[in-house]
Amino acid sequence: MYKSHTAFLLVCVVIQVLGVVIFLKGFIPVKNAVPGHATLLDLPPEPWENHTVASQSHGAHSEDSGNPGPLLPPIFGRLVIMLVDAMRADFMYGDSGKNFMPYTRALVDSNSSVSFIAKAHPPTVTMPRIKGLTTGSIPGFVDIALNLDSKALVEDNIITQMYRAGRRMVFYGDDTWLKLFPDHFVRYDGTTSFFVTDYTEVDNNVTRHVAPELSRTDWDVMILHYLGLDHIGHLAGPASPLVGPKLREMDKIVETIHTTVMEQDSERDLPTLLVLCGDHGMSNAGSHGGASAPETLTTLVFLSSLFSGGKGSSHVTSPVYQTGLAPTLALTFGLPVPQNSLGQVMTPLLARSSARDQLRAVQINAHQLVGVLQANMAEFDREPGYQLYQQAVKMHSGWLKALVSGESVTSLETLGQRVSQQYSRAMESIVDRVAASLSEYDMHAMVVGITLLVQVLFILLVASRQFLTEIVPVAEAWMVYIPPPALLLSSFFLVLSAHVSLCTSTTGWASAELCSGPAGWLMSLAAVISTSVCVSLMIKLFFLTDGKALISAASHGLHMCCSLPLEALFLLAGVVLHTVSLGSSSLVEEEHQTWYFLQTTLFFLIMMSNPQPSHQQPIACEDTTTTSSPIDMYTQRISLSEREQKDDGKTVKKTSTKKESTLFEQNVRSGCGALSRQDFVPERLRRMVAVLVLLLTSRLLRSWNQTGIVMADRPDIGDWFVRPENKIYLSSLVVASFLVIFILQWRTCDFTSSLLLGLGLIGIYHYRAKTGVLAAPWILHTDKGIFEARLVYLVIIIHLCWTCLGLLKTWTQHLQTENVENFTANRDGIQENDLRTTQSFNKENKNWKDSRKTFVDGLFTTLVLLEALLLRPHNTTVLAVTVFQQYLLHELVLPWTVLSPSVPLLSLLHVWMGQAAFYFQGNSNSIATIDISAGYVGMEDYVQEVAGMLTCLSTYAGPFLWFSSLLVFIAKRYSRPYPALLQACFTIIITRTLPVTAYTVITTMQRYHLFVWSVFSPKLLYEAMLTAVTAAVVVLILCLGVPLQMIGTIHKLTHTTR
Amino acid sequence: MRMRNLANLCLLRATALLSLWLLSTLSSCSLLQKPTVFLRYFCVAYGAVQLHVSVDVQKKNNATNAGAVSGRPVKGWKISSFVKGFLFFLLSILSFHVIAVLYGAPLQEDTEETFSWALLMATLTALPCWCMLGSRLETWVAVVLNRPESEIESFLQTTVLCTVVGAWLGAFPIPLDWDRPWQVWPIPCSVGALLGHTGGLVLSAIQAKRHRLDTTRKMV
Ligand SMILES: [Zn+2]
Ligand SMILES: [Zn+2]
Repeated sequence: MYKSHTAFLLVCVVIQVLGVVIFLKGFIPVKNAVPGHATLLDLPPEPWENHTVASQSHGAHSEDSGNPGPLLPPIFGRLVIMLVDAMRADFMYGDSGKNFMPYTRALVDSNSSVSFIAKAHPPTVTMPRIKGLTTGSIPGFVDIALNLDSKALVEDNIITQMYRAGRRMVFYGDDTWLKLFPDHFVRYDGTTSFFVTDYTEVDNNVTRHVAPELSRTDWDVMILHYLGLDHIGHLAGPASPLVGPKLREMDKIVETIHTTVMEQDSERDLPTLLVLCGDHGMSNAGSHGGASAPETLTTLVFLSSLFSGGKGSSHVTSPVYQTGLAPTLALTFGLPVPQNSLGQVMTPLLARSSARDQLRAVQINAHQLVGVLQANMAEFDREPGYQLYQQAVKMHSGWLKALVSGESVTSLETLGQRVSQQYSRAMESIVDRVAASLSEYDMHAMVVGITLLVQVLFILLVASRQFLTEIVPVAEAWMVYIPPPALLLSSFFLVLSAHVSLCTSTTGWASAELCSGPAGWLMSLAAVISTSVCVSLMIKLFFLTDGKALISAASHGLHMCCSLPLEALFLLAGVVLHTVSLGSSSLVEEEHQTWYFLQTTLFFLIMMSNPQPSHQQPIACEDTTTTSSPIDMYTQRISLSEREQKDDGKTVKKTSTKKESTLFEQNVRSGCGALSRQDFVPERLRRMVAVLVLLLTSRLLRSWNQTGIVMADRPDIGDWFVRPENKIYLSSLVVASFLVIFILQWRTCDFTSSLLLGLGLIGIYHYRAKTGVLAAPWILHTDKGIFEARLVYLVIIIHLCWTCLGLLKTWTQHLQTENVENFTANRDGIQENDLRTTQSFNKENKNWKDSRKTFVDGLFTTLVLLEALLLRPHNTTVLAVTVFQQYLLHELVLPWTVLSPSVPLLSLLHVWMGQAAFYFQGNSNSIATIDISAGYVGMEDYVQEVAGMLTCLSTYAGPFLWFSSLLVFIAKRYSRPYPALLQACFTIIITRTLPVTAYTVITTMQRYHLFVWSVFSPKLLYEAMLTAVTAAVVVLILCLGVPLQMIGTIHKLTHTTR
Repeated sequence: MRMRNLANLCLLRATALLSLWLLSTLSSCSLLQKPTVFLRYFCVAYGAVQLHVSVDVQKKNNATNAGAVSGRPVKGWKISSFVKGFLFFLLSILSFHVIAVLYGAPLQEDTEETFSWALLMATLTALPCWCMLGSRLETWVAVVLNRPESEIESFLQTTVLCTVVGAWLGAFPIPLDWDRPWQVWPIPCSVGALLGHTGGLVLSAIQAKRHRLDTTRKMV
C-alpha cells in the first residue's frame, strides 16, 4: 500500500549517498606516484660542459639516458634510527629537554650534533608519518582513512632502498613497521600499541634488545621505535609528571648507543649515524592528528663521531620538513633518492664532504624532484621550477669548468654557494608546485555530486507535503511523482551527452575520477541515471502538473511552520542554524557546542511551554486505527488557528511569540471541556523536574568527555577515571552503569531477554577485566580477552535471534487463527461471524501490538548490549545515561508535550539527541578522536572489514541509540506504525540532506582555505560517514517496517472484506 | 495617564542604562577590562534606578487608587513581603547561575564571572518584576509566560524576553576563534543581555505610545 512511498524514500537515499561519494572522490585529490624503485642507473650525469644542457633529455625517463653519473661516496657506514613516538620539538629544545635530556641536549648545545626542528605534514598520525619519513612524500588525505589498514608499503622508500643495497637491518618497536616492510629485517621484535595504558612494557620490550645488538657487528641499520611517550601523552598529556622520567629514560638510551657507537667507530672505515627523531608531536591535550604547531613540530637530531667535539653545526631554529629525512639518508649512504620523495636534502649534514660532492648531492636531489614534477604535471617543462633547475645545471657546469681550470678556492666557494642556492630555489619551487597540485580538485566530479544532492533536497522538499501532513495509502496520489518513460529517456540522453562531451572536452573539465577506468564509468552511469531521474521529475513537476498545486504546497508548508508552537519552531530553526554554522571553521571545530547549545535551549523551551493534557495524546494515536492515518498536530492546529483568525483577527495579529502556546492552550480548554490550568500543575511539575534531570544529565555528559579544540585540553571526568591509579573507581563506575542499564531495560524485556542481558553485561565486565582495564580479583592473568569478547558476541546474537523469534511466533499464531476464522466463517452464518471476528480482531490487534513492542524493545536492548561491549569502559556511563535520558524523555516528558503526536518533530528531536550523544562520547570533527580500539574487540588480528564496522558502530553509538529509540517510541505509541515510520524516515533523510548539501557547497567554496585539510576535510569525511550511517538506518527501518505493514494489511483486508 | 508614564519610564530607564554604561566605559572599570567589577557596580546602580522609579509608580498607583494591577493586588512595602521578595530575588540569581552552568559555563572555575552574569540577569529581569508586581513568585512567572493582560505586564514581558533572548544571542560569538578579549565569558552574554534589555525598553516605550494613540483615537 505504501510501496510508492517506500520506493521514493529508497531512491532518495541511494541518490544522496551516490552524490556524497562522487563529491568525495572529486574533492580528495589523487596522487600520481611513480611505481617502482629508483636505481643508481637513474642518477643524472654530472653536468660537464661537453653535455649540452639544453639538449639533455631528462635522465630518469628517457630511453637513452646514456652513462649515469658517478656514485656519490657514502659518508656514513651504519645507521641507527631511534624513533620516539610523539617526541615533540620542545621535549628536546625546550625547558623539559634541559631538565630531562641532559646528555643529548649538551651535545646539541655544544654543536656536537646536527639538529633540526622537523615539521610533519598532517595528518600527524603514526602510520602516515612513518610512510612520510621513509618515502619522503606527502601523504594524501586518503591515507588517514586507510591509516587503520596496514599493508606493505609499495611506494619507493629508503628502507627498501637499503634492503635492495644489501644492508642488513634489525628492528625493534611498533609493529606497524613490520607490516609496512615485511621481510626487510633480519631480526625483529614488534610490540603492538594495543594497550594504550601501558607505557613501560612497550619500551622495555625495545630496550632489552639494544645492548645485545650493539655488541653484534652483523647489522648495518638498526631501527628502534619507542611508543611509551605517545601512550603517556594519550593517557595524561604532555604536562604529566610521567613525561620527565620517560624522557630521562630515552636520554639514557641515546647515551648508551652514542657512547658505544663512538667507541666502535674507531675500528670502522665509515662512522655511524645515530638519528633521534619523533614521528609527530602531541597537542597540549596529549592527542595528535591535527595540524597545530605542537602536533607537527618534532625533534630531529643527528649524532655521529663525525660531529663530536663541536664539529657539527649549531641548532637550526627554522623548521625543516620531515620529508627531507629520506633524501638526506639516501645521499649520505650513497643510495638513490626514493622516487616519489618531495624532500630536500638537509645540507648541514654534508658540510664535511667536498664541495664537488655537496653540489653533486643537491643536483641528484633536484633531478629526482624534477622526476616527481614530471609525473604530476602534464607540461612540466613550462614550470618555473624546471627552468630554475636548468639554470642551476648550467651554473653547476660552469662551476665544474672553473674547478678544472684551477680557480682560487675562495672564488670557487662563493660560486659553489650560488649554485647550491640556485638548486635549492629550484627544489623549493618544484616542491611547492607539486604539493599544491596534490590539493587540486576534480571540479567536474564535485559539481556532479553537488547537483545530485541539491536535486534530492529539492525533490524531498516538494514531497514534504505528502509526507508531513498525511500519508495517503493509495497509489494514485503518487502518480504525480512517476515521470513518463519518454521524458525519462530523453532526459537520460540529454544528461548523458552533456556528461560525455564534458569528459571528452579539453578545457580541463574532464574529470579524472568519473571519466576514466571502469569504476569511473560505472559511477558516471549511476550519476547520469540519477540525474536524469531527478531532471525528469522536476520537469514533470514544473510543467506537466498543475502549477497551482506547487504554489499551494509551498504556502501550505509556510503556513504549517508559522502555526507551530515555539519548541517545534525552534526545532526547525535549529536545523537551519546548525547548517549555517557549518560555514565557519571554528564552529565546525566546536560543533559539539552548537548541538549542546541547541539541545539545552530546546529542553528549556519544553520546560517552559504550556502543558499538553496527557489523555489527548493516546487518543490522537489510537484514532489512527480507524482513520488510517495518524492525525497530525499540524492539521489540527491549522484549522484551529484559522478559526481563531476568523474569530478575532486583531488578537492573533497582536500577540507575537507566545501566540501559539496560548492558542494551543485555548484549544485544549475548548476541546477537552473545562480543563483549567490548575489541573495540569502536578503534571507540569513532574515534567519540569524530568526536564531538569535531563538538563543535569546532559551537563554531566558534557564534562564527561571534553572535546573540540579549545576545551579538549581541560581535564574531564572521563580522563580522571581512566588514570591507572583510579582503576577501582572505574570498575565500580562500570558496575553502576551496567546496573542502571539492566534495571531500565529489565522493565521492558521478558525473562529470557533480561537473563541474556544480564549475562551479556557480566560477560562484558569479565572481558574488560581480562584485558586489565577493570579490577577483578578472580582474574590473575591478563590477555586480549578474545574468548570472553566472543562469548559476549554470541550472547548478543542469541538475544537478537530470540527477539526475532518472538515476532515470528506471533505471526504464525496469527496465520493459524486466520485459518480457523476462515474456516468458521465458511461454516457459520454471517451475523454470528461478524461479532466473533470483531472480538478476535480486537484481541489479536492487542496481541500483535504487544509482540511488536517486545520486538522493538528487544532490538534496542541488543544494540545497548553491543555498544556496552564496544565502547571504552568509562564511556559505558555515557551509554547508561543515554538509556536513562531516553527513559525520561519517553515516559515522563514527551507524552505531555506538543511534540509527541507529530512524528516529524519527534524524529527531529531524536536526531538532535543523537547528534549531542555523538559528542558526549568524546567524538569531535577531528580524525584523532576516533577510538580505533573498538575495532579489535574480540579480534585475533586486524581484519579490515570487521574492524571498520565495529569502529563505526562504536563511533556512532549515540546516533544509533537515538534512532532506534525513535523506532521504539513509534512502535509503542502508534497503533499503525508504518506510516509513522515513513514520516520518520523522511524527516531523517531531509535533515541529513540539508547539512550535507550545504557542507559540500561550503567546502567547494572554501577549497583554498588555510584549514581545508585540517578542519574542512575531516568534517567532510564525518559528514559523509554520517550520511552513510543514516542511509543504512533508513533502509533498515524501512525493511523492518515492511513485515509490520504486511501483517497490518492482512488484518485490515480480512476485517473489511467481512 | 499611566500609559504616558510607562512610555516615559521606559525611555528614562533606557537613558539611565546607557549613561551608566557610558560612564563606566570612561572610568577605569569598563566591561572589557574588569567584567566582574563592572557588572557588580552596574547592578547596584541600575537596581537603585529601578527602585526609585517603581516606588514612584507605586505611589502614584496608590494615590490614584488604581493600585490593583489587573486584579492582582500590589502589596505595600511591608517588611515581611520585602524579605520574601528579596529571597525570591536571590533565588532568581541562583537559578540564572544554574542556567549558565547548564548551558556549559564551568562549574568550578570562573564562578565569580558566572555569578556576576547571574546577578546582571536577575537585575534586568527579576528586579523589575519584584518592583512592579510585588513579591509573589507565581505572578512573576505567570506574567512572563502568559499573555499579558495589562500595560505593565506587557512591559515586563517584553523587557524580560528581550533580555533573555539578547543574552542567548550573545553566546554565539564565544566559540569563534577570533581570539578577541571581548569573546571571553561572561562579556558577550552580558553585552547581549544589556542590548536586549535596552531594545526591550525602547520597544515597550513604542508599544505604550502606540497603545495610547489607539485608545485616544477610540475615545474620540
Ligand atoms: Zn606516533
Ligand atoms: Zn599516538
